[in-house]
Amino acid sequence: MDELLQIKEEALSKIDSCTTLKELNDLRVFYLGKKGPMQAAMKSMKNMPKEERAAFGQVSNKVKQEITQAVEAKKVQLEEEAIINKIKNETIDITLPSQKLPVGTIHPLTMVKEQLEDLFVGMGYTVAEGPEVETDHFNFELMNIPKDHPARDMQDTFYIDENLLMRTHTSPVQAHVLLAAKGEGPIKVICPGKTYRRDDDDATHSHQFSQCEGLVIGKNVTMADLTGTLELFAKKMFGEKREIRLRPSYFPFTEPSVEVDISCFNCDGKGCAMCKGTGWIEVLGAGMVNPRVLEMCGFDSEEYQGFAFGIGLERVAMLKYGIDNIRDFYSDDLRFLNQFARKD
Amino acid sequence: MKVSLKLLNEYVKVDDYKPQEIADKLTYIGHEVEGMDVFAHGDKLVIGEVIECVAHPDSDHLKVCQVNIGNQVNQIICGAPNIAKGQKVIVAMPGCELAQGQKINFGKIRGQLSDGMICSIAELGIDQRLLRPKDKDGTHELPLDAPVGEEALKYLGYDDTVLDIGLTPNRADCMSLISLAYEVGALLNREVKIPEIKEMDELESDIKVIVETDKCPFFGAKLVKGVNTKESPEWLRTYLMASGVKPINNVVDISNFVMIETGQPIHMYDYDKLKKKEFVIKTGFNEKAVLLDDNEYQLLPEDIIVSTDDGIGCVAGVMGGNDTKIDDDTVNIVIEAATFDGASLRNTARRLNLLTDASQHYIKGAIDTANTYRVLNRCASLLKDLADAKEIYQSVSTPYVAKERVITCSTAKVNHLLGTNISTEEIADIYTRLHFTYTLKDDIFNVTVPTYRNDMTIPADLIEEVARMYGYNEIPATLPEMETTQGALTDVQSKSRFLKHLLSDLGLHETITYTLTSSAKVEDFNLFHKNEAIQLLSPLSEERSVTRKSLIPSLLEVINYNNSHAIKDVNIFEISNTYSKDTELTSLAIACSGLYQSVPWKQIHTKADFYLIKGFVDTIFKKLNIEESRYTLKRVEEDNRYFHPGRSGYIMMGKNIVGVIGEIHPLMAKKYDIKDAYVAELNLSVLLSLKTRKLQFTSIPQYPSITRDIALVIDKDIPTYDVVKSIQKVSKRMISQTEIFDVYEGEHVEEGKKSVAISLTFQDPSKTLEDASVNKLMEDILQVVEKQYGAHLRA
Repeated sequence: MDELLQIKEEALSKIDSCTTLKELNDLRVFYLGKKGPMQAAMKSMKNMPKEERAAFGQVSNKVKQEITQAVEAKKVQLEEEAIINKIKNETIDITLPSQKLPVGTIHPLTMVKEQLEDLFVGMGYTVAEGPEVETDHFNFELMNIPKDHPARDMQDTFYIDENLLMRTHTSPVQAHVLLAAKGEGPIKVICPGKTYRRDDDDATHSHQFSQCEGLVIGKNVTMADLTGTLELFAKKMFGEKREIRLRPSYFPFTEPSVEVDISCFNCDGKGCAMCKGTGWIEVLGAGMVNPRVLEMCGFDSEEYQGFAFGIGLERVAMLKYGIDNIRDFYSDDLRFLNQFARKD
Repeated sequence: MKVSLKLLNEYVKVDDYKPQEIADKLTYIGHEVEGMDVFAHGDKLVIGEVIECVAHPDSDHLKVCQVNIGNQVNQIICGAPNIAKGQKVIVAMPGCELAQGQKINFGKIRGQLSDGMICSIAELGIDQRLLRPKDKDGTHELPLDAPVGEEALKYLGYDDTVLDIGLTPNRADCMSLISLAYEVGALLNREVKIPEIKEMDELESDIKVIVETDKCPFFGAKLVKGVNTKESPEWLRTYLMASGVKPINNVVDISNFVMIETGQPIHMYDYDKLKKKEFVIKTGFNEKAVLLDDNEYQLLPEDIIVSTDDGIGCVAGVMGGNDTKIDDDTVNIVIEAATFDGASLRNTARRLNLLTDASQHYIKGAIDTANTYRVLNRCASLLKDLADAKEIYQSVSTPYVAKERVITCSTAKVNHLLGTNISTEEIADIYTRLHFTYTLKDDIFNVTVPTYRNDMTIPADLIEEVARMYGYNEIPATLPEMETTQGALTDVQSKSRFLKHLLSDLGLHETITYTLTSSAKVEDFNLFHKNEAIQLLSPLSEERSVTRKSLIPSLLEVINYNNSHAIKDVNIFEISNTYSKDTELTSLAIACSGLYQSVPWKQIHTKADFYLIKGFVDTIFKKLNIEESRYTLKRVEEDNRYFHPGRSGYIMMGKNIVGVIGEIHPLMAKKYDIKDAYVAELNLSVLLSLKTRKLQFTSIPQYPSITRDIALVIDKDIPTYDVVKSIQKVSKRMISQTEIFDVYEGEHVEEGKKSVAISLTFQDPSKTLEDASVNKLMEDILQVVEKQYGAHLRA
């Protein structure tokens, strides 16, 4: 018995002081293997009296168990130490640059378009598109701008032939939507898209630009509803503190017509260079759809009425992001585009 | 339009408001004040009397003046040649700030004290083009009774503010100051003062008017005899200058002044130069004529002409003829006030490049025809008062009956459209203030609109008037109450948006480029358009004269632009429409040049190449769920001049080309001045409308798979992927994956052959695969590739 305990003491001490897995394995084989001191001690068991033998067996099993446990524990410890030692040599310079993944960008005009789409789709609008090569009939006649109308002076047009032109505004999409509805409301739609005018390109003019038309037709849609809708637009696009101001204006396809200003977000309406000291910035035109337009597009103007608005996407983007040259949108300089790599 | 507030004040009282307040009010009723400036600049300007004027001791042109400015006498050095003792002059006191920030200081000029400055009119900041030579050359001599010490600008009537109003096209009537005064009067609820015309003894006129065209609804003429042409009185000159019109002489000034006041252009003929005292208004002339600016113009049959003595008396509403023009010697005048067709006149004026102020009044529709007789009388009366006209003759005109316009509207309608709760009384008050006459029964208004309001035709116009005067900003803000509509993007719209974000997430930059291109580039890379290109009738330049058929040229231009700004790596895409006669479709183009990914310190330099672009396209197809089996890649023609023939392929769906992937032809690289570019273009109009299978989950395989690699030697011209497809066909059920992991030509492989290493993954969805079955499949595969491609296993 004492012998067994002695072996145990010796084994545990050796296990405890061993430093490598190899050494540990050797100890395990030596103490628990067939040729070790335990086995030799066991041999003496058969000469023992029966009652003593049982007690001896019990002790020896317990010793074996303890040694096995000690070996396992030591193994875990040594393996962990080995890992810890190994990673000591694995240090890298974490200040070196990342493996930069290519990061692309969405064009700022697309960003603004999508923001508008999300805002209005959330309010139950659908999105309609129309042809950019448009007929004179849709672009002008159905928008209540007959030939020789003074308003055509405002719109210098790229004509293709007598009847075809590059659309000068997204308003003709209104006519497409109205005609498709065959006189049946309600209609809630926005129409973003490219538009063209015969302007020489400079910092504030572009022969190509983009607009987003809005059209709401129902039996009780009022100018107050237009005001509320535009107020929401101003707050969502330019910040909750924004207010709007309406001024009477003139568009052949709306009556009454309004020009809409928002309170300057740069100075909060106090007056600064951005708003030319007025505290207000002109952002869009709108109005109640002219009954003539409704009639020409198959709607009974006694039954239906509604509003329309037209937003210039470049204008919104320029104001939102502080861009001062409209040509930047179309030169696609990567130093420009890269500034829009983030979510707005 | 320039509006003098002092002149406006003659018609409606506004001088108790600050100019900014009037400007704001006008803007709020729809007449946007786009600019505002004082007529004359200078804050400390007083009337002085030169009580002594002697030569400067150290100068041969300067004078030393003692100037009495009321409470004191200042010594002022003056260099004007006309300065003399006894004159009343304009004195800028020290501290005075003149136009362009010129500040007057107390100081010495060549050793002599100078306490202020004696000014010319030109120094007051008035537009130089409006001034006489004498206004610029010397000091301004005031009348001898000018009160010394008083404010000079006030005395001169120069203490005026000029508003620059951007009239909307429907309110051209406000080009008449009286009309504008009605607007202000309505808003402020003030009386409008119309200039009184004294009764004149009118003689019978011998003038005849004959109209032979429908483009002249009205023509009125009035003869005035015994006119004395001279300089206009100061008040008239000042009002004209403040309105931006250069004073000429009293006769011309009166015609201009009457146009400012009434909106009616006036033309004057020299009665004595007319042989026949007859005006024939007609079209059909096709000849050259010298007009009163001494230039010769080619007239065409469509031009409206006021013909006198069978010649060109006047190009109607545009410019008078040379033969009948008034001059300093003119004594007897025929005044013309007419209405001409604006559209026709616009064409003439534009063609002749004579968009005169008068012609703009016709083009924009400022004319109140019903008022013409009054206008003629106003002219005659002013000629009598200011040009000593001795005989006034009766007006002669074509017949005209003013049509009364009655529009019906109701209180309910007003509030239904505006979303307001405005009372019938308020509406009635607004119409009264606007000088509309109406009858009111229950809440229904029958409104007769004034003749000058050419814009009023439908009930909505009447509602707008209520809104304008009630105040647009008094209208509440609500949201539409209507049946619920479902808001959503269409399938195509949401896919298009999805693709933009996909490609941007993959590292490409979205571009938006111009639709218009040049005819030299329009056919480049075109694949989807069979029809002719769309040509603009009057482009601004050849560079932008035709609508594009492909987006690739635009992207190559973006590469070139960036390269020339030292940005070598350009990876971009665009989704836009492309066009040809009768066709407008949506394309997606990708272009990469230089490095796609670069991490220099890790030696990662992923150059753009064919396979990178193919990767983008594959990903797009995968994300759009267009299975590989639905399209094939076909090499482009050997003689293709847009795409590199050896490195480009069409994406085919059946017999249709739906896209292309490739390297641009070196000829194109040269043309677009870039090094190289790898591009793709897809016809999204086709691809986004394809029917695709619903997204459906299939269960994850439960049994293990077995992977075997083979290396096949085949002729180097055999498309590798054909071999892979043949292998897949051996057992679509069991071969779950094929991956080419090496393609090799060279040492240890026969000349003209290549070795292709493929990793094959086998899987049986219903049980664990056994080696034997895999061996059998491998045998079948080898048999197939040998038979079809003469392939054998690499030794």
